[in-house]
Amino acid sequence: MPDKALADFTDEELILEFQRTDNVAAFEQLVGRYKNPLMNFVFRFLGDYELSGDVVQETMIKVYRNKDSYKSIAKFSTWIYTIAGNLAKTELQRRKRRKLVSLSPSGDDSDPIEIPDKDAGPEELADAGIKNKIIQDALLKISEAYREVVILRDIQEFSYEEIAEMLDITVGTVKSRINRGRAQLQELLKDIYKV
Amino acid sequence: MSNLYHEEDEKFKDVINALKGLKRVDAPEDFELNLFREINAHKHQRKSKLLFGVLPRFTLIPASVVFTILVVSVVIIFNQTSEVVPLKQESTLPEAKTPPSIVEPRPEITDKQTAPVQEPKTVRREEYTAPQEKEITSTTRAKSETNTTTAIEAGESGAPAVTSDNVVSTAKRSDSTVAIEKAGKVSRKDTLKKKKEDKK
Repeated sequence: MPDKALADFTDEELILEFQRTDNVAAFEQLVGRYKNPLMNFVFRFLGDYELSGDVVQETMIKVYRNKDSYKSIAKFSTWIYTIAGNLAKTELQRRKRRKLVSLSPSGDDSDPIEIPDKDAGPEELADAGIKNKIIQDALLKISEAYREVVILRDIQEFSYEEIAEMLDITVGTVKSRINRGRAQLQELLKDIYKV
Repeated sequence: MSNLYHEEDEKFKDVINALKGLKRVDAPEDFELNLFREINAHKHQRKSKLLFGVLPRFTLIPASVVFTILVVSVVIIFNQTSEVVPLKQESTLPEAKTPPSIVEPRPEITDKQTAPVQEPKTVRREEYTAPQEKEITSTTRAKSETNTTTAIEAGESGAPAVTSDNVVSTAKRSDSTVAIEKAGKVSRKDTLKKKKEDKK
């Protein structure tokens, strides 16, 4: 099947195509569509660019190897974000354990990497960079459960229902977690709003 | 992905805008390259795992067969060796009636040396020649039986052949020994010592 046709496929059609025919081109198409959104989600959750790259790569490998475990009743995006979220949480737990064991409490590797904006000027770059860092730091300060739903809702722009399906919790729980998370963030980002 | 704001969203408008304004983070440029390299590495690992997973199955079957063969052969050999003695004893009894096989051993043995050793053979001999001598106990008979067995075995294993003269001499010697024993002149210890010497 030519790649042009695959580009028109929905995510669900692509994964079904990959399941049925083992067509790697279909998988490549899915990788192309999801690598950046997943990278953004995982990076905001972990705050570590390299680690996020590893997690997204692991997510894709899981999709590749466990393609048959996907059921067409669910949305593909929900499925792949669930995998990525679980892997990110596992990685976070692993890092916490490593930190506890580590002799140096100020782990340099946990510092977030600045993502430079090539289009912005030096001042804007510095300003945006600082703002980004402050918001990212604030995100990392709130609890994991709140952080995850806030990222999924306000950064990745998923619906409450989709988030509920991803995390296997009720919509009510999603809403309450989002509100608590936002409230904590607002408290942490007070100074930014003043400026 | 819906962009609809719920009532609660209004309360946190600033936070939501700040989060939405965050710069998008993209995957590294070589992401796909690394991904497919990793996938291929996984494939190779799987193949090698499969090979190692299948190999033991093939090696297990002959190993188990060899093991069972070994066990069975050991059991058979053990049974054979345990059965040999009674079978031979039974088979030697009728053979023992033939004089040459009974009185086979050591033609060069002197009278003094062999007298006690030949005692059981003598008894056997006497059984054939003079069954009237019923002084011989059942124990001595048993001894003689075992001795004859050893004698036969020795004959089988290439021991020197026994002439009829020797048989006669040993018979004579045995007669004398019996007489000595009857007389009580030779003690039991002496006979044992002589036996040992004879063996040497």
